[in-house]
Amino acid sequence: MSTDEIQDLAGLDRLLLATGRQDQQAFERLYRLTSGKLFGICKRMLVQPSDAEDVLQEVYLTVWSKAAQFDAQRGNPITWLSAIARNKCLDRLRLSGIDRHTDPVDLDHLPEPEARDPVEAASDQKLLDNCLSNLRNQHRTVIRTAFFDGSTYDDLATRTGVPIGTMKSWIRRGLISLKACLEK
Amino acid sequence: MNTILVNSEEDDLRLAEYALGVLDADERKRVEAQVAADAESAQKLAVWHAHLSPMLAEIAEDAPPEYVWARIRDSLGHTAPSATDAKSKLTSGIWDSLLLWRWFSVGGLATTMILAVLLVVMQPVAVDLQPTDGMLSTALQLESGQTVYTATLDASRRNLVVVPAAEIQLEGRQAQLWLIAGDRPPQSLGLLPADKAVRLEVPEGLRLLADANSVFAISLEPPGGSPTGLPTGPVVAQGLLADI
Repeated sequence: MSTDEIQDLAGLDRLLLATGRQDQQAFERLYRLTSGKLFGICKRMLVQPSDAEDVLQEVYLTVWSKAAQFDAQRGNPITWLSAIARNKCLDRLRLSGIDRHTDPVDLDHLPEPEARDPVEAASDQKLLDNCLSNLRNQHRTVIRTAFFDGSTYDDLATRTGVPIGTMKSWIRRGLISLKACLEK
Repeated sequence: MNTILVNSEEDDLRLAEYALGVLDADERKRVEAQVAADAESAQKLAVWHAHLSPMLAEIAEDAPPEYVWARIRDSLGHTAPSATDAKSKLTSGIWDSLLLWRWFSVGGLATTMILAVLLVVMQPVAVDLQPTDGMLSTALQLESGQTVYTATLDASRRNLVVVPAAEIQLEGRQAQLWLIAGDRPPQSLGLLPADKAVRLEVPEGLRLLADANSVFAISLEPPGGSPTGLPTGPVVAQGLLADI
């Protein structure tokens, strides 16, 4: 998907709305334009590639059946699709017997500069980056780890060696600060 | 601080935890039930998804193997584009035009007169489907791709034999068969029994219209058929006439 196509939200809107009307060609086009992004998300969150493929299939079956519920007035199509993908990954990660991220998290790890060009970054990315950078280092690290790895409070406590009460407090305080920063 | 505000903040934080992904399976189910029951919670959750989703820009795209799409397409019963590209383009246009005609048919008085002219005789027949030269046939399929009737038109274009292949969910309505040729409005060919084959006599005026590019479609209509002479209920199945 080229940057132009990502930016072509109106086009994705139309494809998603047409998919809601059970237009198979629109659905295939939507898949061609968005599956790379959503598969990237699935592979990032799930440890086993076969889980990522299974979940991607579930994601698009859900998109086909729920596209009519997408409200173009209220949401961005990529955000809507990504939320479905993340939710399906989280559901999968919560099943017993599914491999999940368990490697130790280094709380003193400072975030590396992102590979993406800051000039290219959309304004909402810059805003979120800025708000995340205002958080305490530990809060930011565990929030990012939770978001990308789909780890539970329990797993995060184990991976960091921090008591679970402390972990909850860090994440909740971090989320409150983020909201205040993003909505000011 | 008043209690309602505290609860509201607590609720919002729970939605944030859900969007972030830290809740366990039981907690996730509780939030999902709340969001399903309460539009305000659903809206707040959408705000949190929007707040956090810019982080996803850090994740590189990764093209899935081609068989994933094939699995999705097959499990939905969609047609493979490579074999039927032209057909699917044609038929998707026909679905649209049927929808258009349904709208046009609302309150169309003149169309009831067309129906009167098009009334067809239906009678059960012993089915004889030996193909002969000049016969046309089609498999009428649901959007899932399942065939629910086959229809065969003889070389004289007078007789149409329609054989049920699978059950349609009628929900108290009757299946009505339509011929769509060119840009003309759908022409009724008659009602289809759910459980047995019928021979329908094609009205004289329609015989010239039925050719290898015509489409048959089935709509669900009130008992006795469409009151307007055009499809008024959902169009559930369709098929393209082809030489056999």
